[in-house]
Amino acid sequence: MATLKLLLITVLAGLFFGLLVFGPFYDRPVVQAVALGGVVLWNTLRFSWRSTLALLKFCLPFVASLLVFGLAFQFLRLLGRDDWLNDTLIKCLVFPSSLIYIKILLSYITYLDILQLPISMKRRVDLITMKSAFQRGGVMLRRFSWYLGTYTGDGEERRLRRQMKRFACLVIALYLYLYDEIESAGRLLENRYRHLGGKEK
Amino acid sequence: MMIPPGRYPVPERGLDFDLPDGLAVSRDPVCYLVSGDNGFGKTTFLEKVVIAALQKEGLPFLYLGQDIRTQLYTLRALLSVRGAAVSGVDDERLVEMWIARSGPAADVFLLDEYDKYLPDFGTLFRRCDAFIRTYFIVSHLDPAHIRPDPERFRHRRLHFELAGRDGAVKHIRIRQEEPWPR
Repeated sequence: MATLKLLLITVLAGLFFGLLVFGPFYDRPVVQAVALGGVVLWNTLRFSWRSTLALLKFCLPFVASLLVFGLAFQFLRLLGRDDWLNDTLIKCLVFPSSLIYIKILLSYITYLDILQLPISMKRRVDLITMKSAFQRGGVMLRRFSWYLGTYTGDGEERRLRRQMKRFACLVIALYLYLYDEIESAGRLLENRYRHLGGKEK
Repeated sequence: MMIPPGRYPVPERGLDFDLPDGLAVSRDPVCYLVSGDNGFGKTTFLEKVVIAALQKEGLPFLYLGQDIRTQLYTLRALLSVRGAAVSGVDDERLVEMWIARSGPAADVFLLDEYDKYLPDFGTLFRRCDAFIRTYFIVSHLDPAHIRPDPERFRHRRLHFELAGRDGAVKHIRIRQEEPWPR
């Protein structure tokens, strides 16, 4: 059952990426906008509006920097192309929708599903550790962001630069956290498993 | 800056604070020793009322939260983005580096149960001697052990006590008093 469920999730992910990200609907802004609206609605129904808003806020700096580069390339007509803006707008829709879509799909995978998978115990521990760390990472992100908001700026920096630095800090903090969390949670699970007499299968 | 007397509801945390006396944050050195039982919203008051007021006024401050382990990730990231070599630096040294870099711009220092992590505040106070004018220190320990120079700082105790309940909302009175007889 768990294998079937994971298979279905993989197929759904493959369909999304195959059709909207790398496939025939990639360059159709209307389809992309509808897809984004759909995943936003799905996320709100599955979690909450607050969670959706936090995800969109997380995407905002990436989307903003994409837009800035897109506008600059369009203005400069880089490589002789004049479709930079159109391409950028599509990417601005694709990025958040694929991120939210994957997050929703992953949320359907439970720890029990992982335990029932026909793979080695070591792989199961790896997957459980990753799931646990990334789940907590989402919660930590808000706290990290709050803390970063309490730190004073570095001298007379411009607002945009300050925001970009803050965002860089957020990404680094999250990376450091996930690295630590995955390592320590993995060790803990491994230890418990061995303590209970488990052997590598 | 003054946090005026009044009620400060924080509905999302189920708390409603009653502050009968205002809190002054000025050039006159003062140390607020925050005490009270767990669950009475000491951290919430610091984060949602005091820090919010400082941010609104644009007053630079330092805050070491109760979840210091979480905060350390952000400090490490912040310092590395600002060009400091933080690789292999232990947590205590990391906090020192942050204070050395960000501290001089700040007037206010809020320490939320930091004594759980670092029992001796002596070095910390000495490092901040030149710039910090106001401390907020949350602790369950005897405040006499974690206070800055009593000759220089006026000490006030902010004691959180339960005044009543209204459904799920706790009404918390914040009593301000002398921490010990003069």
